[in-house]
Amino acid sequence: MRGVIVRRLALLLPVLFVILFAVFLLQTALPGDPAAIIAGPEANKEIVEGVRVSLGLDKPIWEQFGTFMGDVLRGDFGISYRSGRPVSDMIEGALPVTGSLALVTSVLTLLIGVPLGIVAALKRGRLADRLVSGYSAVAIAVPPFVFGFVLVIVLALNAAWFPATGYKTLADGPDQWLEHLVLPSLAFALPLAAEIARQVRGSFAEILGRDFIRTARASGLSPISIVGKHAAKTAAIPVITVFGLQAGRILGGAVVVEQVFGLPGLGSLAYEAVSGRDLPLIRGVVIVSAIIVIVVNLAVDLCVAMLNPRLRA
Amino acid sequence: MTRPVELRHEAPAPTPQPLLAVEDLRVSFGTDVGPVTVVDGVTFSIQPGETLALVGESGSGKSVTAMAIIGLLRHSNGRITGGSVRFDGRELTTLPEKQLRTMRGSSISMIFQEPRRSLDPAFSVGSQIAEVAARHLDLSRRDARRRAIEMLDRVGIPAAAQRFGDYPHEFSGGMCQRVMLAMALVANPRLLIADEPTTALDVTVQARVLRLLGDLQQEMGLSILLITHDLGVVAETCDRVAVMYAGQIVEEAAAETLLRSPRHPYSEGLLASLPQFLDPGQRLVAISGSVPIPGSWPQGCRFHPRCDYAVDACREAIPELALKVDGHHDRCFRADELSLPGVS
Amino acid sequence: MTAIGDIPTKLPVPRRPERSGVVFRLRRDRIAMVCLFLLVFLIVVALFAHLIAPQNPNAQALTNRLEGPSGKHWLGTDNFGRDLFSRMIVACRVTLLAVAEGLGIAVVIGIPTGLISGYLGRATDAIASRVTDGLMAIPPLIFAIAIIGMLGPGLSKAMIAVGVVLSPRFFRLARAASQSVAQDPYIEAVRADGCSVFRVLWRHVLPNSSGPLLVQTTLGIGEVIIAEASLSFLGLGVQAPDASWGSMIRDGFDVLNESAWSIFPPTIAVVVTIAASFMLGDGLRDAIGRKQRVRE
Repeated sequence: MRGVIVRRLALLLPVLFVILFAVFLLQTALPGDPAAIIAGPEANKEIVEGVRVSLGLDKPIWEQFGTFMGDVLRGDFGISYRSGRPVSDMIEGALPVTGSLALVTSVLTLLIGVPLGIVAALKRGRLADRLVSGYSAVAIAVPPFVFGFVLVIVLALNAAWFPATGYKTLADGPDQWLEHLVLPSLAFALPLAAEIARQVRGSFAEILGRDFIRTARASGLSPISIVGKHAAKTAAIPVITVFGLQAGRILGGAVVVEQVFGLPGLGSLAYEAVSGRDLPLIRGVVIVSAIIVIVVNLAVDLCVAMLNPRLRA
Repeated sequence: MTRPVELRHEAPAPTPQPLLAVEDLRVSFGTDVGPVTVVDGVTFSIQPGETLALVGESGSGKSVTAMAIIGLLRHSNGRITGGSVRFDGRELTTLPEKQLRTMRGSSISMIFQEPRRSLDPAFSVGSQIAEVAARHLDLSRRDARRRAIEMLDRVGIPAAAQRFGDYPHEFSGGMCQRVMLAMALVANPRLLIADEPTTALDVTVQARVLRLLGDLQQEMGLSILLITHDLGVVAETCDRVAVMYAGQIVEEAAAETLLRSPRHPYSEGLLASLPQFLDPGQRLVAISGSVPIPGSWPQGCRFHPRCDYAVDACREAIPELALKVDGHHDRCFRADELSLPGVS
Repeated sequence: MTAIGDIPTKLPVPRRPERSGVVFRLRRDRIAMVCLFLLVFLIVVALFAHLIAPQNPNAQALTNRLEGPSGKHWLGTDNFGRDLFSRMIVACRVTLLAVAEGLGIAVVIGIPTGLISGYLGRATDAIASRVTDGLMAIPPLIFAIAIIGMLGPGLSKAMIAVGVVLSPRFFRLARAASQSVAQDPYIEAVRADGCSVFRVLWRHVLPNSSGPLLVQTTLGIGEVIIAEASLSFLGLGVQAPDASWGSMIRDGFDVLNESAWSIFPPTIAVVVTIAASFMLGDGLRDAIGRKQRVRE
């Protein structure tokens, strides 16, 4: 087991390096002179030069990359051009919001998607299965923010069941926290659950046809044990893999959903950063997102290894 | 309805009741072109402690018969469309699924052809056996575990206690089949259905597994329905043989009798194609033609297109499975006149 | 005889001889055909957009804001009194052009690099694969807007970003195809004959992978539309006065408390097109997949 972890981590390092390098390169693609941008339109050449030196922008590229890597590894992403605050602080503030969104979304996705998929697999070919397949086909095609505003229209503006925008931290009370998160999470969860349902249905349907399930049936085991214990353990692997892949999409989609619902998370930060051509903030957000995705993928790999005894050797 | 009167002592001594009595069993499958009959009036019985071999090529319907007996057709497209299956006097074809489920594993067990694929790869072999034990014998976890280790030992897995926690992929094919036997027998069933248990195994391993089956049968007083396509396997291990062709039993007799003097041309053909019974230098003879597919069975005797001894009568009607000679049934118009060679 | 799990639910009964072939199988899949026709229809609309649109999509009439459907304006008007029907048609063109750009870039970047990487193998492949893995770890939308952050807003630049973000998928496909063929003795023979690497890749490797590539491209239509819609919704894609369906969704969203109508036509158009592309892609995958199995 430990071998698996070590090997995975070892593979991660080059990937991390690539990401850092790509992000660093973003700066070179930036048209215009960052020093000039920071210094402002009023500054004369000397001030711009001063800014450049203070930011270390006059050193050769390799040195800059080295400093950049060193900083990042220490958690220092620099100072935001626009707000003047350390980027790491801004990200720290935004993480709990996006984290909460991701958490509630994940729970909803599994709560909706897995049972639907199992029902569809058990009632293959019948009405329940067709309904689930139909829902899947449509829901996958709908971008989360579309679900978002449909939900807003239906549940917030017309019926005022849930607040339409805004975020409340856990400190303000768990019920408030949840209330504000339900709509945005649901907006995300509906298409993701459709994907999970599809995967679950496919996995279960295929596994229920396998020889070892036949043995379980011939041994007189109860359907609950057959489906919920034996089939589930083997079916879990591809489902968890898909679930892990969705992590990246939640982060990405968060950009838009947070806009729709006015949540001050990583996504909103990314949007701000881009609108304001705020390079350090962009870099910080991209790197942190990538790290989160990598960590989630690692967790998925570990779960898969735990479930599949063959991989543990 | 009157209560049964205590007159039993006046009736003649009853013939021993068979453990399993299959009578005129019919199974059909739903297809694109409508229902197709796959098992067409199969009749046989197994006494307690007896081993019956059900022999036939692919497509004869023997596995379907087995699945019908144990009631596992519900997970496929097949349905029992006629006949009866009585186990210990109880009619199984009309039994509700819940009760069938209780019987599976505890009264009737089944093992299958590909032992490595037939075990759950995600659980240890010991826990799989223990689960069956716990389910049918109502044991605590510790007792179930102990019983599982006992069984593993009984089926010849060395170092059973240590191997309890090993996974199926850590065992060879032959060992996996032993594990399956342990699982099938842990709850002391009275009938074991073995569907081609050795076909996927090496020849040397085959012999050992069959011997194990024989030993366990003696120890536990088990009845066995052995399904196979290989008549060679039958000689050592079985009391009686039933040969199946195109959904029907075409011959049934004591194993030795059938091997020495078969009465149906198909059985003769099967015997002639066995390499182990030939003298060196003799050629292997294959039966010409191929097994007809359900849905396109020939008219009349289903074997007649491939039969060396066919006459006009064979094309016109299906022979009945009849008891011609003592304990020997056959389904051939010409069985009495033909004197077919067997093996010694 | 193998056990019941192996008994096919369709027993082999003599049938009329069937033409194999992807096209034939696809034509039998009714849902996929409907999707195909829909997409073709949209492409035609896009091609002739300016001829079809009854009114000037940019003509504002502030007295007629946010009207519902009527005889004069079949789909009503938007926030500035512009005819929604005409705007939808012209936006169709803009959206599909964007899709072509985005997909085109993804294909142009991903496929050649993938083919070469899979063929050359070893060090080149190892590096290229790590790079791709790294790029794929960055959440797509965030990556796209980061790139836009560098290049500046605008539809073409946004599509460059989307193309770059999507290219790893095509890279992987092309690489897999190339790898499976690279060891083929046939390829060695052809190379020994003096065939250049590029010719080999173009004429022998690429056709082998055309199936999965076609599937991925079709699915990609939907994904690019989702991306474009998201980006335009954020204001980072299409810029006023041009309109794509995504920006029209944003326009409708901004006036939600005044009128809930104007957001629906572009939303429905987007959802239907994406669904069509996904279902067609699935259908293609089934049609191609079965063909491969038959060959085995």
